[in-house]
Amino acid sequence: MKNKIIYKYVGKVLITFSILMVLPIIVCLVYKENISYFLYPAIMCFLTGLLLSRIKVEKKYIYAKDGFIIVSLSWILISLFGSIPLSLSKSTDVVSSIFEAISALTTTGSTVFEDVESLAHSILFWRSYMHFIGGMGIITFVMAIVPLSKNDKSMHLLNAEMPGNNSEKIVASTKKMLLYLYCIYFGLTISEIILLGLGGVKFFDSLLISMSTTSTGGLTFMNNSLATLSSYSKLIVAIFMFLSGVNFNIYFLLIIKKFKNAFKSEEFKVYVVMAIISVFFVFINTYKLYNSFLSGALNSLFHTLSIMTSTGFSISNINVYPSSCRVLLLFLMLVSACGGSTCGGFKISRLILMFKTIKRDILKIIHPNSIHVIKVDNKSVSDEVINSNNTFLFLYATLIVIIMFIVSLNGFNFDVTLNSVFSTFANTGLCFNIYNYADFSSLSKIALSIGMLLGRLEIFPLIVLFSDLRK
Amino acid sequence: MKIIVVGIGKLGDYLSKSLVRDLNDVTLVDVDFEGSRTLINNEDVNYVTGNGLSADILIEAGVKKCDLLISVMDSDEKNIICSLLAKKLGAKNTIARIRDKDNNNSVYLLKKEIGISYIVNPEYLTALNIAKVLSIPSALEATTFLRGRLQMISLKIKEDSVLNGITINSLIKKCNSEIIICAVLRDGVTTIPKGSFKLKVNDKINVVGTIKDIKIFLEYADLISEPTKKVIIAGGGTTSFYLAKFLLDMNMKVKIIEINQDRCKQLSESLDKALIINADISNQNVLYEEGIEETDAFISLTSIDEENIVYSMFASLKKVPRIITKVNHIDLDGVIEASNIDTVITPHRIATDSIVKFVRALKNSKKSSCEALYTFDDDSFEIQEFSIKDDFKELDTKIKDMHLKESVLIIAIQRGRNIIIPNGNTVIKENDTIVLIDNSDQLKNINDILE
Repeated sequence: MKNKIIYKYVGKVLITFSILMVLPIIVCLVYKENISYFLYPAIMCFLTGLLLSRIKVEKKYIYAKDGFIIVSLSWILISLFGSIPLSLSKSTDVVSSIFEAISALTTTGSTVFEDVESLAHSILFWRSYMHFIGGMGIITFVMAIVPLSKNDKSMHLLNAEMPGNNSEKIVASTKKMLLYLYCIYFGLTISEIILLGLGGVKFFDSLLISMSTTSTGGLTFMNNSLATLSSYSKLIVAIFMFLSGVNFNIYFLLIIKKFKNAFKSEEFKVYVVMAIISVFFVFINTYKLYNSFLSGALNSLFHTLSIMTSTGFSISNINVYPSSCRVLLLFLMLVSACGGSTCGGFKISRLILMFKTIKRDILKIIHPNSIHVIKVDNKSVSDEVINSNNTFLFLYATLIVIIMFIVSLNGFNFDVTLNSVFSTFANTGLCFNIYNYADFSSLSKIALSIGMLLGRLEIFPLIVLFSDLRK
Repeated sequence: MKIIVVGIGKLGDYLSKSLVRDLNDVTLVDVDFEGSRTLINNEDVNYVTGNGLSADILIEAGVKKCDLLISVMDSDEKNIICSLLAKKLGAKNTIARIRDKDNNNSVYLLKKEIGISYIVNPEYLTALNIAKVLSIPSALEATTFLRGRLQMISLKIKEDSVLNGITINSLIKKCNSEIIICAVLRDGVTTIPKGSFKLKVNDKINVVGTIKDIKIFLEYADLISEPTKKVIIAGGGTTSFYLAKFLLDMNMKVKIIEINQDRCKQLSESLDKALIINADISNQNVLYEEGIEETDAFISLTSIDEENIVYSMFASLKKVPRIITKVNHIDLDGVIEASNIDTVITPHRIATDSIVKFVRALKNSKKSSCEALYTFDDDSFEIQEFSIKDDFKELDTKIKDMHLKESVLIIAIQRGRNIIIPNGNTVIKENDTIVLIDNSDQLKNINDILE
């Protein structure tokens, strides 16, 4: 961390985060709640940020490594600051607050609160609001709004924070592209608020649900998630969960009327096909559990999409699902949806690439001399990308096993251990046989928190940070 | 017509000969004529030694008053510049050889701006030709006339074939379809057979008819074998690339064996479904491993003729049903006949046919003109298409009453949308298109077919 520009950037991120905290303060004022929960951490965050950004910088160049470090440091720091309001307002311990804050920021949606409905309005708002901030990523937000120096190689930052392995630029200017993506993000959220409002949901509720949906978060303000909503509202939420799992670049292409290019994406096609098949499979296996055909259809649609897009809402008890559905849903949990969206998991694009690699390697065994260039969306993929994809998937599996081992020390049965790790690492939140994480030990909570950060930042940034610290 | 040919390689050499035979004034331009002494000495051509990209040299060759400049130098870029230059200096038309190795089609977009009248891509034409052959079972060669509505295929008569020992008249009667056998190659000599001609084993016959009639004929002759499915292509050049594209579109399984690894990668990138093997074909284990014994067709398209012939001989030894060999340089027809390789494809011949066709159409644009052309391997016969205008002397005369030259056979007539296979009582009308075979080199316009 010799490059001082790292601190400058982290400072900028913290200042932005403190300004974002003004909104919950307004909510406090509206509902006449104690504003000190947010005022103090906001001021602390602002001052820290100011201090860091005052550091004099000689070199103004960001290297790839620095990008990773800026991203992981920023995420750790804003998680800490974001947890302070939770600790101040409710008598939860520090570790639980941090778990909750990370769960919110990484759009996981696992909670430590047993009774959510008893929380203050401002705290409920804060949790969904953190989803919204974390969904697209705080650094991209900073990059989109804060004027940056000219010779920034800001793609390094973007690559480190944006999910998926395809940081394809569709507009020449990074800043313009980010603004477009944010417009799409806000557009989706506002449309959902309006549509839910039309269905009779109160404004505050629909705001919270919408922020949790488009960021594919999953924290709600009710103890039974979204079970009490009307069927219309459930359907709207299901549709928007699906839409949030699509690569946002596709919306951009649709807006600029390049329809052909938009639907050419292999990942999108696989996403749609996987979603349809999975919903159908779950429906066939579960419709008998519900009293009507339609409610069975809605339930299977809602829960499959909720898990596939890593949102984690639920509208009924999913613990009644048979094993076949559980296994399918756990698989979908890990894969999740498209890169370039707000979802978790390791992304369909990586799955496609892995399958193509397997196909090539088998072909290589049958025809030892054959040469086969792997292509995705008609563009050839270099061996470097394939190797890093393989490494990523291996690390993904390894880290899941390590975290599972740590959590298993807690003494829960295997089912709970597996579900908790899968659902947090893939940033999903919903899982079988777990309602909240209040019973987990502090060690498990820390391990799961690290897992959530690893899953959200796609492993490498955090590993780079810690290997850099050791030097 | 005054024609300048720039760049005298294999294609330039062969092309010049064909153009001279059509009674054109041909001027050759090249940096040196060491390799083409025989052409200069034996043919009636003029030549200018110098760089074809220099305006002075082109002017010396008479570009200002020429009707056509054909640029067939070794690189696409040179040919484009030469055509542009010639157009600027006053040439009425230009033809350029564009190989378009990267397949980016940009030249076709710029054709108008550059002023190229006609683009020749020998690799593309060759690949198209091979694809046509493979699309018809049992055919050694295949060509189409009348915009694809009339088909000509060539076959070799095998020992156990029903065609062995049959006369042409009884064949046509028995198989009950409107076909014409327009040429027979026996013992190295091509002839136009009469009705009483008896077919023998090892004759190579050329059969013409509509696609439907050809199919009936093939069924009668029991030559409808399994359609070609698996194809091995030796060599991964530009021709192989185009060919693989055509064959993949026809749902065949294509394997390309190429020795250069970088080229393999390029091919794999542009041909998704083809299997690209990076290996040396001269190693027979490679061919066994890739299944030469199960393949339906083997096509040698490497850049070296001798290798192509040897690989095809090996494939023939392994009883591959269909073998196609590209031979570009070797001018020893007898050797190829003797080597038992059935189909030989010569790119410069195909390119020349397409250029000569264009030149003839250019010449006769107002009168009855030649529209398609096919030259037999030994240059003995040509098949041509003519559209008939009012200048034809024997309109509305029965064919048996016409004063046709001995060497001319009218194969087919297109009238409106119908294709007529003529007999003695058929008449030719204005606006017909006729297809005919002849061996006279002097067929400049349609009236030359008459005595």
